[in-house]
Amino acid sequence: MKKLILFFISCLFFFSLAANTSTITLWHSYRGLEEAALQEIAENFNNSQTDYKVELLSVPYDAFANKLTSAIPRGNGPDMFIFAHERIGDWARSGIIDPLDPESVKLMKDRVVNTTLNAVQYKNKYWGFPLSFKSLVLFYRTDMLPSPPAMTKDLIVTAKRYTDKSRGRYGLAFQATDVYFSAPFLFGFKGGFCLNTPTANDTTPACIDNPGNIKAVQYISDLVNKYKIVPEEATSALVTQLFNEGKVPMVINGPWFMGEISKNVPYNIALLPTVSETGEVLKPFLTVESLIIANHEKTNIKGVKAFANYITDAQAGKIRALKGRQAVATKEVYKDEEVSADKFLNVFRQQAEISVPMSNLPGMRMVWEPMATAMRKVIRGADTSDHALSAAMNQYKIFSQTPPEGQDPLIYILIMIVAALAGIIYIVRQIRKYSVFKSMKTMPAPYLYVLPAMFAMILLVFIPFAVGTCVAFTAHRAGNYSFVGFSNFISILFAQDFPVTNPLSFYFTLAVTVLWTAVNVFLHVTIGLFFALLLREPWLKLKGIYRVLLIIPWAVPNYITALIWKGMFNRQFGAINGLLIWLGLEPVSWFSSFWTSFAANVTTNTWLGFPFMMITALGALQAIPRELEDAAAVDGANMFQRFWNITLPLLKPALLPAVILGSVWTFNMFNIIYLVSGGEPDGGTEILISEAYKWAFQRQERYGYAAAYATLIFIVLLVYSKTTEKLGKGK
Amino acid sequence: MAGVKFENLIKQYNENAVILKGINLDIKNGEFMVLVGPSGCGKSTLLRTLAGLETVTSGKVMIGDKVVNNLPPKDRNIAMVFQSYALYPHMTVEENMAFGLKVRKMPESEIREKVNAAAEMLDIKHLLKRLPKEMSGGQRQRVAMGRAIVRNPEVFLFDEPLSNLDASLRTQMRVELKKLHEKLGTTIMYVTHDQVEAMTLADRIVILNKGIIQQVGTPAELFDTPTNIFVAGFIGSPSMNLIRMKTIKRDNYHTLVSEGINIGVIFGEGAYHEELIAGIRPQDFMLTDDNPEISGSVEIVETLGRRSLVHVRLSETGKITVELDSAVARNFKTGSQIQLNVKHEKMHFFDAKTEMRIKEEIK
Repeated sequence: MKKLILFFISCLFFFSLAANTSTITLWHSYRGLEEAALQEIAENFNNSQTDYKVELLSVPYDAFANKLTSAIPRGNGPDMFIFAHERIGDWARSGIIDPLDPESVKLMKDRVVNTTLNAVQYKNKYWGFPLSFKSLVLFYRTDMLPSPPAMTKDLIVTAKRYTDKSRGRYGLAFQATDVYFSAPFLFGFKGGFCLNTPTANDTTPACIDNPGNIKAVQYISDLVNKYKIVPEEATSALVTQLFNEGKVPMVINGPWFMGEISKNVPYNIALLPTVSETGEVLKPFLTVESLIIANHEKTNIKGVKAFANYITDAQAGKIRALKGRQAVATKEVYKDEEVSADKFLNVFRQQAEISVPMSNLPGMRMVWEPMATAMRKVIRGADTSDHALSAAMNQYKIFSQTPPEGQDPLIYILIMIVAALAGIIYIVRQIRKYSVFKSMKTMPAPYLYVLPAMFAMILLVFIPFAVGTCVAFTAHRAGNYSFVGFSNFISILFAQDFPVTNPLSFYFTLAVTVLWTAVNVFLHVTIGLFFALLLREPWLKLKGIYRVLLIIPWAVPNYITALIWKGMFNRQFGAINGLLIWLGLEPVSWFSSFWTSFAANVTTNTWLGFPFMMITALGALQAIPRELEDAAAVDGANMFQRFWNITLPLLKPALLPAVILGSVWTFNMFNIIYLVSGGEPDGGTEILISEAYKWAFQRQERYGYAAAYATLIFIVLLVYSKTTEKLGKGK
Repeated sequence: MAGVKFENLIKQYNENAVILKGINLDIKNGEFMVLVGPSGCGKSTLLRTLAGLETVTSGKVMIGDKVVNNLPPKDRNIAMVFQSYALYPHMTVEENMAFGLKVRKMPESEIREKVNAAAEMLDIKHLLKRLPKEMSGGQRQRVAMGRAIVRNPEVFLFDEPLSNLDASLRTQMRVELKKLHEKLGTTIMYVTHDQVEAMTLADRIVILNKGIIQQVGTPAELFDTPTNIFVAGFIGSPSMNLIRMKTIKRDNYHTLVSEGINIGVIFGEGAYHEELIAGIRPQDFMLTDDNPEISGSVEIVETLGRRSLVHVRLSETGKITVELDSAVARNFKTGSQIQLNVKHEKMHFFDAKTEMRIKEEIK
């Protein structure tokens, strides 16, 4: 005991000593080499002085932005963090981050590559210390191609030599339908999004259907369809695979690609070529990772500045460049012998000079989806470049609409209070009617048993539900919610933004969702029943094995299954088209038309869904005596009549709840839609829940609008299950 | 209407499970044939092969003069009543009875007519709108029969139809079944394990054991001349006493000897057996005071009413059951000595090895 007390005292003593150096926390999402380099720098910094101690916290990339926006306004979170510059506009507007003071700005102007500092500029202020930058370059296999082409004409000629579609070989690979990877062509044809001009501000609308973009998108489509040198439906994994297997000599990709190339593949990188038609260089987007100051009371500005000064100097820059394999923003670093000898770092540096910093204005975030939709349409030949892009422009205009006017919530609050009072009165009456309090006193045990579950339900279901419903009455803009009454619902239900036939309208999506649910549940029940009936047959041997095999699809996590099926439906490399070709049939471009894409989704979900129905039916069948079917057989009923008149009606009481449950699950089966078709083509196969997700997280964070979707989904499902239940009882 | 014929019928699931081992049976048109035997003897399987619910491994099943081996049940024109009645739980009585006609696409009006007629015959007209779960066991039983009757089949199959009823109801239904058969005159194949049902209902009885027919005959034939000890032991209640005995030669007669038993007999021509099994029904004993053929000690007395069963121990292993008037049996207590004679003309004799009836005369 004495030892323990002594231990605590010594601990206290230690902490009081340590208190003289103040700790500053840094959030980052680096992994691997980049993380190691950062750790080394932080350690060196901590050892070099005694005033500050930097503590690193690695936060997963996916959760990074959300954590920041929820922690910092509440006075928590880090003193500083490292993140790409695109979100600076949003964060600066919502006051989450602090700009650099003039002294720091001066320092950075001296130290870093000019383009990188431009990237962190917003409203004439600078919002981060540029650390490193990332942009696309041209990767080429030196064993296949001695030197890379400098002009696109040469690129096409060279690429054609390597292309042999029947053997899965291509001349050039990049994710052609991804806006980020196609951006160099947009700029190379003098297009772009009009957000990089010095006068652009928060309200500047992006331009999408400009002549440059139209030409560029047509050009990319030609690369795929006319010259056929670029694979269709190329995913990041496919690009890597082709390059590693020597099936493509050239790839447009970023620095992260270096980590994905196999060790034995000889390669080099080069600047992107020049467009022969315009004489312009292909300019990729530039993303600048910078050290950003979190804006809350506890932020230790002095400490942050000290660390920023340290990490951006040549010495730390060298560590980041050589050990972290980063293209660092600090100019001085490139004068170092070791660094300048590194061909990769130099190419990245040069490419950074001829790149376009990705705009940090809010307009940029809403460009991606309409632009990507348009590009996919053109590349699969469903639309012309100019028409698709003007449609994209219209879509953009709707996405970037200003939120509805705020309203006075007073009357709503009054209604709420009345409703709450009515609810309370109802509950109290029910409690009295069943004399709950009395039975609580006489028999407290059952109530205590239910208590934890009730608590969990309130915490996990009812409160989030109530909050979600409240959010549906608001509009969200840059961290601020304003009360808008029923505006969201009105705009959704009266199809104010889109005609009913547009895939983005609520009714179109609802129709797709209903169709999706009906087809799925029908297939789940029929296939599940079929197998259940088969597994019951006495002549079938090895039933145990089949039963396990048939349950496996259910046991595998559904996102894994979804990804496997997504791969199998790939246009060029998927197993299903492989099978079709083997059978002598034409391969199908599954995600290019509504019905094939819908079929792909349904196939995946049916694969996932039938085991549940099978298990339910198997269980229910056990309870039906075989004698009933024998009796029916003797009575003269054939197999079909026996099933229809005897087995099915007797299964109904067990199947009905399963069907309701299955419908609700399918109605909200986000994973499959998101992962398999991703809404392709053009958002047509989107269901309500995935559409709501897009409104919330991919289109200007319209949380209120998305919550209104969620509320409508709830109402639809409530009505559905109540009606089905009644119908089931009626018969 | 038609007769039923089985020829060399074999049914086996695998090498080790041969259920029916060559059944030959001829059921005449209009006959009430009862199939009886212990559990697992194959009687239900035989019925189900006739119904078409089980396939046949080899041999022939014929209804009338048509081989039906490969016909599905629906094309055999038979009706079956199950032990559990197998009423469709989601249908009313009316719908249950009409089902077989509906799937045969009979016109609606005709169906109603037939259902009403059958309901009237069985006195279940007031139940037509009820669901099976709303009726008693006896009522369900009637509905099950009604469902069979409306079809007007060539053959009725009954699979232990009365075994789920209580004793008094069973007696009542037995009578009704008999009447029904007389009224309809349809061929009936009836499976039961209850020999009282078999004896009272049957025109002829088939006794089945381990997949082999033991004997076919009228109830009286089976009772009076069982062909082997299985039939002897199976028919008659309480069961016949079967006693293994040795023959000892006397001057002009023989004595059959077992512990506590000593019966003098005269073998007819060719009837001599050194060892045999004697079968004596419990009713065929008489009490005697002197020179008893059998003597033993009373183990227990069971009173049945007018008659009583006296269990008599003859030796360590030897035991017989004797049926006496209760008035007489009352005099015996556990442990008291009892002396008996046998009605010689009622005795049955079986070969000790083959266990088959010795046909030659033994007096």
